[in-house]
Amino acid sequence: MMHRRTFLRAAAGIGLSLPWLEAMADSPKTGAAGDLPRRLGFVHVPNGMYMTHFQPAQAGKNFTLPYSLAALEPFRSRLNYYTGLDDPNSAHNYAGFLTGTDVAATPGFNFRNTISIDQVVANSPIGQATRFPAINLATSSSMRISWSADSVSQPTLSKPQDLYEMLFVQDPRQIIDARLQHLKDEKRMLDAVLVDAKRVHQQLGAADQRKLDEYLTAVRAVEKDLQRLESWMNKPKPQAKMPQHKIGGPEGLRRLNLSLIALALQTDSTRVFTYYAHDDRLPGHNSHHGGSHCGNEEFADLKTMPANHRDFVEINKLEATIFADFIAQLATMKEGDSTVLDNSCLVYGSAHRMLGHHHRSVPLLSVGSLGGKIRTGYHHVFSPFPVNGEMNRKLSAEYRGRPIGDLHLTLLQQLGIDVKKHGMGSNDIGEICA
Amino acid sequence: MFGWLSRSLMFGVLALLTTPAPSQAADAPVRVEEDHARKVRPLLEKYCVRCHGPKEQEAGVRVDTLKALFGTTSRDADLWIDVMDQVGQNSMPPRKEKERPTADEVDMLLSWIRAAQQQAIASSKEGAGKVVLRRLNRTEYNNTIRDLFGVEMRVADSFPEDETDRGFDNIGQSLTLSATLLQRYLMAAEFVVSRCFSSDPPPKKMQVHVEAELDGRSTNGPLLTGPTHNQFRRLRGKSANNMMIPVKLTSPGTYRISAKVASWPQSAGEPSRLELLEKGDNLVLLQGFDIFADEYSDGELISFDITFSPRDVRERAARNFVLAPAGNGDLLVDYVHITGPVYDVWPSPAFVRYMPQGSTDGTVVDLRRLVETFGARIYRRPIIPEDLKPLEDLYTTKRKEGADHLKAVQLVLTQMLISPSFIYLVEKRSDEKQPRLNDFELASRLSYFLWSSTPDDDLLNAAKAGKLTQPAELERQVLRMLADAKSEALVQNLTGQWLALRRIDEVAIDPKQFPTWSAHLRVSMLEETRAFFREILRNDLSVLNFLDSDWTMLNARLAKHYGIPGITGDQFRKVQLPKDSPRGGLITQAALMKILSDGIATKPITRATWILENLLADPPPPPPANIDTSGIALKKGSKPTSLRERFEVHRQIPACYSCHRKIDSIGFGLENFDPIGAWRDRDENKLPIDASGELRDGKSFKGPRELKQALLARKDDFCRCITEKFLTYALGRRLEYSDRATVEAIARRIPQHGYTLKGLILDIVRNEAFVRP
Repeated sequence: MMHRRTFLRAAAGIGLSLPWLEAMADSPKTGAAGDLPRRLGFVHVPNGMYMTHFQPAQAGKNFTLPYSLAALEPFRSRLNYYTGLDDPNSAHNYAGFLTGTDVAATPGFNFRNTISIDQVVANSPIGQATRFPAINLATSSSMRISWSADSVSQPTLSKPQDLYEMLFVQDPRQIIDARLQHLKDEKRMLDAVLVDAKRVHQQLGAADQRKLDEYLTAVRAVEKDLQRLESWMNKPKPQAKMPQHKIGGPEGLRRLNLSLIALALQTDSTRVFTYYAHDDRLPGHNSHHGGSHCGNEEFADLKTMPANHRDFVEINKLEATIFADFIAQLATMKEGDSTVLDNSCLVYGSAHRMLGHHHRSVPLLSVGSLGGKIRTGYHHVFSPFPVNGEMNRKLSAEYRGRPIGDLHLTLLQQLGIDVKKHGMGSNDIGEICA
Repeated sequence: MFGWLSRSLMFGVLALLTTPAPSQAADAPVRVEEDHARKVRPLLEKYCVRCHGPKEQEAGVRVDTLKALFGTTSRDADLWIDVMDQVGQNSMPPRKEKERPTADEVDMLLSWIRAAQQQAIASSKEGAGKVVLRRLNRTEYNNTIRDLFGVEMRVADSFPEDETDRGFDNIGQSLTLSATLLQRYLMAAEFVVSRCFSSDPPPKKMQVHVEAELDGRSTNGPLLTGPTHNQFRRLRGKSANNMMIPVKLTSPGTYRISAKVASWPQSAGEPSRLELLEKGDNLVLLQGFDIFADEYSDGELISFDITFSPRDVRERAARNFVLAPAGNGDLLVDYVHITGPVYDVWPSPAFVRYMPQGSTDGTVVDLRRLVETFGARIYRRPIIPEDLKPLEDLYTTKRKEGADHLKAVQLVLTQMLISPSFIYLVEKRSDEKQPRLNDFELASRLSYFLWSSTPDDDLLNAAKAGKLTQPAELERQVLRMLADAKSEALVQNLTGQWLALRRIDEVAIDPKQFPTWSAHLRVSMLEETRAFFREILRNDLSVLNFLDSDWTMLNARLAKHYGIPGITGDQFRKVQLPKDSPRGGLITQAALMKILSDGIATKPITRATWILENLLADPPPPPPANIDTSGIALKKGSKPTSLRERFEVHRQIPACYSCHRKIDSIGFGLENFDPIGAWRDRDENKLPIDASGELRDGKSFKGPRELKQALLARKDDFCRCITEKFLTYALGRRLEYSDRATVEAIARRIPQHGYTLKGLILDIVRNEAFVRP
């Protein structure tokens, strides 16, 4: 239970209480970065980027951020750009971006994905320690990049209102009491249907039995979750006002969702999130998807490039700016001597490089050091990749980078989760570890 | 992007039914090897082996030892894919090589690899031809609850979206059940039971009454004194005049919006159109009404019911309804009245029927009777002792804790609604050589096919009497069910999924570019295609009308969109098309053209792919990964080029051309229809449209009318295609290689019963495949 409440002013002028810091105040270890929660976040923008203006030209420490990433300049020393990480997925979807698995080896047949990085965190003690083991967002609820170990895509929230209610709106006491009583009944019913399901199971053929296994797994998971819910039921939710943004439309929704995620991280409501951000038609622009088909030849000169190229660059820039503003919010959220940003690592990128569904050396960067665990301020080049000219021919012919799963694996390990492999990634990236 | 996913999933086995051609397919396993030895190996020896053979293995690749193996674990299979990529993209042989394969040779090689790959996929599939345990999808769940309890609640609207497979959302293999979904099942069951089996008094009705003329916010137009001295407010046509009525929903349920309205007497002939909309983030059209002028009337009462799910109320309890004129004619509004929740029976018809003795008093005997009657409806089969025991235990435990009869009953019903026997269409394993569904399982399959809902008493009684296996009874049931209003689900789902109407809102139309686009046009388009399907189904018209017809279903709005004169009013009716009209048949319908566009420009390839896939059962494979598209780049300062010129580049890249040669020209044939399906003579760059093309079989055509004739010439393919679509939907499973004979047999009979949908449906349910688990 909370004894006091600390109200802070967040970047967007939001009053909120910080139950986590509260809890820390009771502990003697207050303030040391090592004790603060570490978080991971993934913002995925589909359909790739105009790489000439997205991928830094120089490798190593002394790189400059290209045009599309200009808004991230204040965080240059706190970010890494990665060249040479390959998305595994050669088919036309993004199922492998967070799972690191090539699920499309045989399209239309035995579609089995593996667990995505956010769900690994959610299932670990790190995810289980918060009210929401993971939060999965998307522009529309049909867009999914998070997968359970049993290859079920995780439902996504798309409306800021839903997210806000879930995070911050406190149910009245009588509802909570009724709910607690209810939980008891629910557990009872689940016990009973489990018996029921096992009986049905015996009467089924093999293929049906495997299908019903989903149900059995779900019942057990829900039972476990009911126990978890019960334990959270008596703890009040943190409070926060709905953030306000002047901008409306799809851009406004994305900003609002990200602001809410910032609050969710700050209040330690969750420690991992994914956001499939696909606003195909941002105001004033052509579609992102259409833009990504503007051709193979990229142009360096922003002034003279064809209008559709320029438009695509501007979409990339706008989306990166929205992300940068989110980063800026995290950077102002104090946690002891550090900030939420310091204790997080936020990955931003796309599972496709660009046109033609190229998935080699995808656009990818991360911001934040995960509480000092990740060395930042570098453009890591695992396998050089020219941003212009020959790129696509080279791509299709011989280019091979590192599997993106290597990055996931590294992040998981740095988070303190003991894994040896994630998707096709089995070698951690030593150079990014502090 | 998910389009690609479903496309690639869809591709799987359906493609197999068609490529290779039927005559070859039967002995295809032999042919893969045979062709490898006869054609493929010699080709590789001729062009590749010098660098990738016994002497040299550049890049570690050797092709002469490659075997015709395509299993999922085969290393050779991976290498074949590499070969396909390299050769397909013209990367191999290297450009410097003088001796290069011809386009035909490349095509042969690529086609062979693809076919072999598909065959391997098909033959290795487990449980082929088996309906995998199907859970109810959202539509089925909503309909089932509605039919069980007699109350429309739409609780499944808050479930996660269902997985689709080949465009269908009732495919057992693909529908998954996650912990999240189970949680929603639990919530939904609790809501439904507490709402429908309740001793609470009915919820207080919300009422809003607005006398239009007293609405002080705006007084556009004069106040009139009508014949009966009612006062009206005038809303002028062609203006922004409207009435907005804010309401606060008090609880989930059905709300009734009614209004007394009249048409301005001077608007003679044409009715005035009144639209009832809801203003949220967008303006959503709920219903349109035609109001006819009649001097002697004091107005007519219009009424509309709308159901708000618990989720709707949770998300937004404050709602704004809008009444607005949508045509030229002026409208007169006397009053608007909104009330709800409304219901015929409280708490529910099911409660009244199955708990006639009331709610508070009862014992385990009453519980048992309830489970054996209503519970049997929930499980769609008779209750057995094993079902009863745990339910009685739950009831008794709850009673011992001090709960009253009703509370304990609620718990029992809730448990039944989350049981696998309700959530899944359970079909028991049978060890016989020729397994068959039992009568109750068959009743469910029939009812979820024709109604997307649970079997009714009549059907369950037939199953109980063991009559469903009698052909005459089966036919009687099918015809009875098709005549029932619930068969509208078949219309909605097949037009929504096979004909893709569900995708109508996937891309937004740019209103600047298409000023005629409106909510009214949108629903009119959708209704044309649905009404067209309904007309063919209900009146036993030929399914070839889907390819081409000399009639269509129109209301005034759509007739205007199509430039067809003389149609007034909002009612859809069958209209004989003028002789020179390009309309008729599915592919000229505005809804499809809209769905297959990106909101700005037409998408000829998407249109063509859709036709190949959904009308001709000939879907092209998804494009390969990592295509070198350097030729497509728009050069700096280049002028807009015609579609044809832009597509010409496909011919330059073998990886593209092998498929695009059969795709592109079909798309050209529809170029006269703009992104919202209106006729045009010039494209978006003002270039004149050349709608001529050639089908793969060499048949050439010019314009949509001739394209439709060309499609009609492939009516056998169409019959096979529509059979595949209906059969997939009826069974709730993917069709497999082994289903080919079934499809052929049913398709062949289509001409014999006069090309009717009823005939097709009857043949499907009579087929062995339909009664097999």
